[in-house]
Amino acid sequence: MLLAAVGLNHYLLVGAALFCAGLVAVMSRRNAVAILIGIELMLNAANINLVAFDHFRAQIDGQPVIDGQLFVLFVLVIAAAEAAVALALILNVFDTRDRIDVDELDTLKG
Amino acid sequence: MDWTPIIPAAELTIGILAVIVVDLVGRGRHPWLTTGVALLALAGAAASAVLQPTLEVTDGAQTVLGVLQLDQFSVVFTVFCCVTGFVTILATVRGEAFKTPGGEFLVLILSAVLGMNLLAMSVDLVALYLAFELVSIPGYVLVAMRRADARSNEAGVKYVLFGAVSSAILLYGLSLLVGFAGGTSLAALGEAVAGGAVTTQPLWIVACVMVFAGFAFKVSAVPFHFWAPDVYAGAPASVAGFLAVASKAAGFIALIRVVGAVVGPAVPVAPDALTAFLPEGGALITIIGIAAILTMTVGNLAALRQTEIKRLLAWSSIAHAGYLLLLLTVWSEQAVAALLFYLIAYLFMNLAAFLLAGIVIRERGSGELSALRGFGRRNVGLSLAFAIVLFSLTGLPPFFGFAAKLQLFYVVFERGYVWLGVIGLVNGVISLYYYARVLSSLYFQDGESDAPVMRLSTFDAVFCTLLVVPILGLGLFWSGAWHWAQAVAEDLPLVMGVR
Repeated sequence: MLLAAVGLNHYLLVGAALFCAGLVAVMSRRNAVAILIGIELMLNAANINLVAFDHFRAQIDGQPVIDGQLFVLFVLVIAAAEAAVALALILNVFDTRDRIDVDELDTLKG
Repeated sequence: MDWTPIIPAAELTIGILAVIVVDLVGRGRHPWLTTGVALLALAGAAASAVLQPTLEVTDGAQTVLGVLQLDQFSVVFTVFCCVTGFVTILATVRGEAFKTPGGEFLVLILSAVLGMNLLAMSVDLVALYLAFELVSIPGYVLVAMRRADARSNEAGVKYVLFGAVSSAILLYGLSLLVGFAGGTSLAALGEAVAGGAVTTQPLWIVACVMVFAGFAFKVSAVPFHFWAPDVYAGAPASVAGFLAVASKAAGFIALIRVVGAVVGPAVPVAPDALTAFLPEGGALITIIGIAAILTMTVGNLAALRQTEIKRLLAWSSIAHAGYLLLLLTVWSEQAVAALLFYLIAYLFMNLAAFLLAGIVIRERGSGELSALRGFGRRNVGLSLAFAIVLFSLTGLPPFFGFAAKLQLFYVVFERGYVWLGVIGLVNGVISLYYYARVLSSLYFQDGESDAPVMRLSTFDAVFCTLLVVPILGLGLFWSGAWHWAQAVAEDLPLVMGVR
C-alpha cells in the first residue's frame, strides 16, 4: 500500500529537485563538460514531469495516454543531438587552448 | 489526409539532401552548383507556400496529424524565413568570412529555414519544441564555422551552452504546461486556461516564467541577452544577420502562438490611460511587459558605448526585440498586424545593416567605428546605403522603419497604455544617438587623407541596391503592406489553434 501513497506531487518534487540540481551545476561549474551534464539533468527533470503527468492522466481517463511519453522520446533524441554539437564545439576550443574552463572564454566581452 | 501543407517543408528537405549529394559527388569542386541548388530549394519552398490554397477548406485551416497547421500566418513566416535564408546565402557568397560557402554551410542554413517553416505551422507543444530546436542547433554550428578563428570558436561555445540551458528551461516550462493542459496541443492549453482554474495556481507563474525564459533567449530579450553581442561579434557578418533576423523571428512566431493560446483574443483596453501601466492579461502578459521595458532600455543604453559595428548592431537588435515585445504586451489583432509589419521592416533593415557591415569589414579588416572614418568620401554609394539603413533603424521618415514604428506606437497608444508608449518613444530618441555616431564616423570624421576610392563589385552593388530599395519604397508606399498585414492578423483565431 506504500506505493499507492506516492502521488503526482511526489514525482513533481523529484523533477523539481533534479531541475534545481542541474541549474546549480550549470551556474557553479566552470568546466564546459560539467555544464553539459547539468543541462542533461534539467532535461530529464522535464521528462520525469511529462511521464508522471501521463501516468496520472491515464488513471483519471481510464485509458492509456501517450502524448507526454512521445514527447519524452523526442526530447531524448534532441538532447543527444544537442550534446553532440556542444561537445564538437567544445573539442574545437580544446584543440586551441588545451582547457575548457568557461571563465577563460573572455576574448569577447559581452 | 491532406499533405499539401508540408510541401514547402518537403522541398526544403529535398534541397538539403540534394546539396549534400551534389557536394559529395562533385567533391566540393562546384560551389556554385550547390549554392544554386540551395537557392532553388528556398525559392521553390517560398513559391509553393504562397501558391498553397489556404481558404478552400471550410473550417478555415488545414492540419497535418493535428500538429502542423496551414494558415495565412504560417505562409507569411515561411516566405519570410525563405527570403532571409536566400539573402544570407547570397551575402555569404561575397561576404568577409568565406571565399565561397561550402556545402555544409548551405545545409545548415536550409535546416534552420526548415525548422522555422515547421515552427510557423506548429500548433502542438511537441512540434513547437522540435521545430524550435531545429532552428537552434544549426545556428550553434553556423556561429562556430570558421574553425581556425578563436573568436568564432569562443562565440560558438558560448552560444551552444547558453542555448542548451535556455532550451532545458523552456522544456521544463513546457512540461508544466502539458500538465496544466492535460495534453500537448495548444488548443487544449487554450481550453484549460479559459476554464479558469489553472491560472490561479502558483505553479502557473513558474511555468510562464520558464516558457518565456526559453523564448526570451531566442529573441535576445533582457535578462537572457548576454550571448547576443558576443555571438554576433564572433560570427561572420552574414551569419550574424541571419541569427538576428531569423532566430528572432522564430522566437516571436513561437511566442505569438503560445500567447495566442494562453491569453485569447486580446488583453483588455486600459481603463484609465494615465494610471494603467501594464495590461491585466495574466502572468504571461505581465512577464512579457516587464521584459519589454527592460529589453528596450538596456539594449539602447548598452549600444551607446559600443565601438565595434557588429556589437553595436547586436545591441540595437536587442533594443528592437524590446519594441516587438511591447506589441505582445498589448496583445490584440492590431498588435499582431503591427508585429508582422515591424518584423518585415526589421528583416530588410537588419539584413542590410549586417551585410553592409560585412562589406566594410571585408574591406578594412576591422569592424571598429574608427575604421569607418572617411568612408563617405571613399565610396559614396555604400555610405549612402548605410545612412539609409541607419535612419530606417532609428525610425526616421521617409523610410520603412518609420512606418513600422508609427504603427507600433499607434497600437500601443490606441490600446491606452500611454506609459509603455512613452518609454518606447524615449528609447527611440536614445537610439538616434548611437546610430548617428556611426553616421558621423562615415561622413564627418576624416580618415587617412590618401585613402583610395573604394570600388564595389557589380554583384555587391546590385545586392545592396536590392536590399535598400524596399526600405525606401515601402517607406514611402507602406499602406498596401499595412493592409496586407492587417488581413493576415484577421486570421488570428486560426493562429491560436483554437477553433
